[in-house]
Amino acid sequence: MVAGRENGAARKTLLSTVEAPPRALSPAAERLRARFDGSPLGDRVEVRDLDLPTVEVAPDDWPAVARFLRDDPECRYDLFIDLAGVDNAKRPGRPTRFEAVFHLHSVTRDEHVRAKVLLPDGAEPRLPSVVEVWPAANWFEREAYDLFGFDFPGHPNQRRLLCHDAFVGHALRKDYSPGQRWFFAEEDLRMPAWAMDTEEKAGHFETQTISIGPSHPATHGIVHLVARLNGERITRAETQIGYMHRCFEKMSETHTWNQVIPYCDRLNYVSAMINGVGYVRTVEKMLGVEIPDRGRLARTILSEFSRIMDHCVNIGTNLVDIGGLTNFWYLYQPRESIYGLLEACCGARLTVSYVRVGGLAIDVPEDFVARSRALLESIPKFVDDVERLVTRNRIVRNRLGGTGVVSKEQAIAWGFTGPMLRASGVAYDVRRSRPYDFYDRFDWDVAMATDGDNFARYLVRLEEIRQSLKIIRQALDVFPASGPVNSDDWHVVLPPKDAVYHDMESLIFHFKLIMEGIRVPSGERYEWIEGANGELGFYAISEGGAGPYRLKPRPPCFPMMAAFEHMIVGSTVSDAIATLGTLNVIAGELER
Amino acid sequence: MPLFGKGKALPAHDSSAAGGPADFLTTRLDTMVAWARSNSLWPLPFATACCGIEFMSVVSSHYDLSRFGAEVVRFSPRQADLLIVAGTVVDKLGPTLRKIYDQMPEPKWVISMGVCASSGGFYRAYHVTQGIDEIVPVDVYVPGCPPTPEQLMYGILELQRKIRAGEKSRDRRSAASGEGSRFVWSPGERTAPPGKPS
Amino acid sequence: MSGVIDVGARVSRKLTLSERLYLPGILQGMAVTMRHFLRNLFAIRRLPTILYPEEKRDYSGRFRGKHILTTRDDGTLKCVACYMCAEACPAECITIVAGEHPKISYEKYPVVFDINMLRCVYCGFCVDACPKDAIWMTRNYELAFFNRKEAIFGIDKLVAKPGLPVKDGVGYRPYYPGDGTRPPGDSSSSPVIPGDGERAKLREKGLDLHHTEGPGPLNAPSPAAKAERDRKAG
Repeated sequence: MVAGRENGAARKTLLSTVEAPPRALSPAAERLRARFDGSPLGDRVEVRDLDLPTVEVAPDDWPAVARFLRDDPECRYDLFIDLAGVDNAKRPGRPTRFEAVFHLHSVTRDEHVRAKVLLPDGAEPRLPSVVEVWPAANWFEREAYDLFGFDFPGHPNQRRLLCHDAFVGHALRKDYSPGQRWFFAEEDLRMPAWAMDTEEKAGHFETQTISIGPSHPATHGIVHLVARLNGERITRAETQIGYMHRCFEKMSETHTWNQVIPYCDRLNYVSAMINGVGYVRTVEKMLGVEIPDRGRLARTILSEFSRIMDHCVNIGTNLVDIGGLTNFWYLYQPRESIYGLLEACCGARLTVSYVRVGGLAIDVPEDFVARSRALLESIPKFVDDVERLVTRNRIVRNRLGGTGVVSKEQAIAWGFTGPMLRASGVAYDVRRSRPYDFYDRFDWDVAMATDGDNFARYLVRLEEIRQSLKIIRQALDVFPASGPVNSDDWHVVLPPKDAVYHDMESLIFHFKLIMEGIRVPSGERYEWIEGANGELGFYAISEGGAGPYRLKPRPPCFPMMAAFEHMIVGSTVSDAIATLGTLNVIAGELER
Repeated sequence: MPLFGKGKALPAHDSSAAGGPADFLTTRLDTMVAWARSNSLWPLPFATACCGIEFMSVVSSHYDLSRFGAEVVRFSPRQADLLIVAGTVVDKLGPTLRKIYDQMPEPKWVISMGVCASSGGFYRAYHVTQGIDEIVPVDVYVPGCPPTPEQLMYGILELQRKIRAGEKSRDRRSAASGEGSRFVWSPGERTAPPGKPS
Repeated sequence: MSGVIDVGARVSRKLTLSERLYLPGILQGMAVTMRHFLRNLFAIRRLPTILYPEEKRDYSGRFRGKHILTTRDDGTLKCVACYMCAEACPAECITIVAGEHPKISYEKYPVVFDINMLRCVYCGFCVDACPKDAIWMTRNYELAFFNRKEAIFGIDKLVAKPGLPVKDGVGYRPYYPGDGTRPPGDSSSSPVIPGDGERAKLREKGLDLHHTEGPGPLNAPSPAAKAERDRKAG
């Protein structure tokens, strides 16, 4: 079965038996096809044009294709974004049961691409590890092993990452029951093999291996750092996570599209609005639904306020870890005032659940613009105070300056995005690179630095707070005084209550939406926005059911946490704690 | 029946036992001690998730838990007497939580903050503990997702009332049944021998 | 200018002499904290602290707190046990058992309506899902339990007694007076929608199907029964 081709040449179809509609490929996909044609790998891959140019490849060819994607001068996909495993057991018409879906980004060309490795049936799913090509793939592959059972020959440390060590089975497979738990006792915890090596080596007379965490004041969210120390210096470290694995992805498979929104809030819970916006944008793109401008602006304004909240918490807790407690109190004031705004909009301070597919749950209150403007006046005072205390302070310079240094190449290799990447010299911001929700209409700057140390990250985040205030000010100036915030498509959005109470047709739409859920057409989509931590993407697969077939959030802090154990080798414990603070690890998002 | 460890049940405070003048003195002393304890709780914020952020709001200047004597937040269990479990507890974290609880000296109390800690919340899932009362005895359950800071303060006030009424912590199981959980799991049993495929 | 700001270049890495000597920096920092301290000391009224439980934060009229089940004018629950809130709830914390109501126009009522307060995530989806304006949320958040059984609130704990004020005021609900939507009338939310044939039959009997006050159309006494009643009353 040959998929449609416009050049007429008979080409071996590799793996997919799914008919691609015969149409011209988009320019990006065409370019990719041309590059592959000009290389020896031409007939080993299949280039499709889904929402992103997609390269389909067999497992054996995957390392070569991966290297090509990274190194070819016209491709240069050097930033590893995500790896999502997919179990097609309940998806008719797919060629293989398991797929490994990689998302990659090219920093120079500012483009995303998707690579799908179709894992053949009949044996345990196996594909070679690409840790050599992208070091960031390390933890993503471990997670795919943990949750799907993919085997990655060549992986340096193929152990469970998120589920506990007494867990039996692979949780995200379709034949795994969502509620099946396993008993985990203390003796089941497995430490890394090198940590159990207690032989003292010559010259290391003060060697000891300790656990920093999982219950520790500085490991915000639960992080278990196993560190081998030589005196005060860390000579080797490994992070064990999974202490907050709340099974978001499995829960999204057992709930409807709108019911996933409260779960999304609890991903990055310090800036809950942004996760919801990212998720519903993905679903709306799959549905083809347009939101009125007022709804989009409301989302933008509240997302920027959430970003300010996130940076406030991060800077505050980072400074608490190095001993400057005052800033935490000062920076919590803007958070409380933004909580007041969010609560006036939707009724909850932190876990807002304010967005819905197709708009917002409820219109913004009448005093929304006035309250937001009042916040714009009050927030800068606290930020200025913190800046006065911190930026030119010698102690902070000594603690944060020069520690946790990550060079530009390292940051890209390790898959960093967001303020961590921008502090290392790469000005990649999704709001600038792929503008959504009016970001291209406002006048704002991307904050970056070149030093790549903790102090640079602090400066970048502080500047981002100010830039967010700038964006909000401009958004409020154009915010329409009235108008709908939701799409008027009642196949997607609940009809207004007035109509539901009095009109039969609205009641029927209401009933169908609640009982049957939104029917999203079959397909897949990866949509990404700029979360407070970095690129927050959602890869959603729909099979036309009431809820997602597969939903994989791309957590921004995941690659940063993976790189942490490499970043701190050679530094002291106190510097490691300072570095951990700047990573902005939010456990809900890290471990979903 | 305790799940892990060697917890001993403490002798009950029997306020109905009548007696002579000595008992009058001891009850007055007990009341004073209970009053002092309730007003100087030292919390150990076992903060895992979103409830941890709301706990941070509680100790911040807007709400200020120190007005109730609970300012001294101690992350070492040896120095704390109130364990506030704020946030979801997953199965991987269970032994850690129990260890922290066991390391706390008596008298100690446990507040389960938020619905995730109290019952698993809406995470009826393969890795989430459906309520920390599978692992530690709980004195006060504070609902909310996350509870507003006032709600947590209300929970702490209820706990203070409980302390002043003479309750100390017990190693009793809280009633974990009767709420329609789909998952039924007997503590102490493995669902399947490890190593076998699911 | 929309562009990129290099914040690292903007802040010089070299500290001035006074900054390198710790003391001036410390004094400068203390000036900031002293300002806050003195301001708090001499203008206590402007402290941001909310002295709970004596003071309470003024939450908005959309706050998502404890639920209430609303009632009609005659005191029955508006809820018709349609199970939409139980379906919409992501936490599956609502348990409903439906029963047949003797009054035809009400048709069903919840025999059991339990919300497990320790499973509920206070998202408000039940309020959004209800087609009968039957469940609201209030500004009451003062809930704390000593065991899990007492956290399951039945109708007795959830019902908003007619005529009595709701504790702390109402919060998240389906319509807000003055925002252009109309509240449902008691019997305008008639659960029985007769088909055309039945409608014709009822029209023949002289029943008015679209009135919004008083008992429902199927409960108004027929003219014959009304005449009988009047006759018996003398």
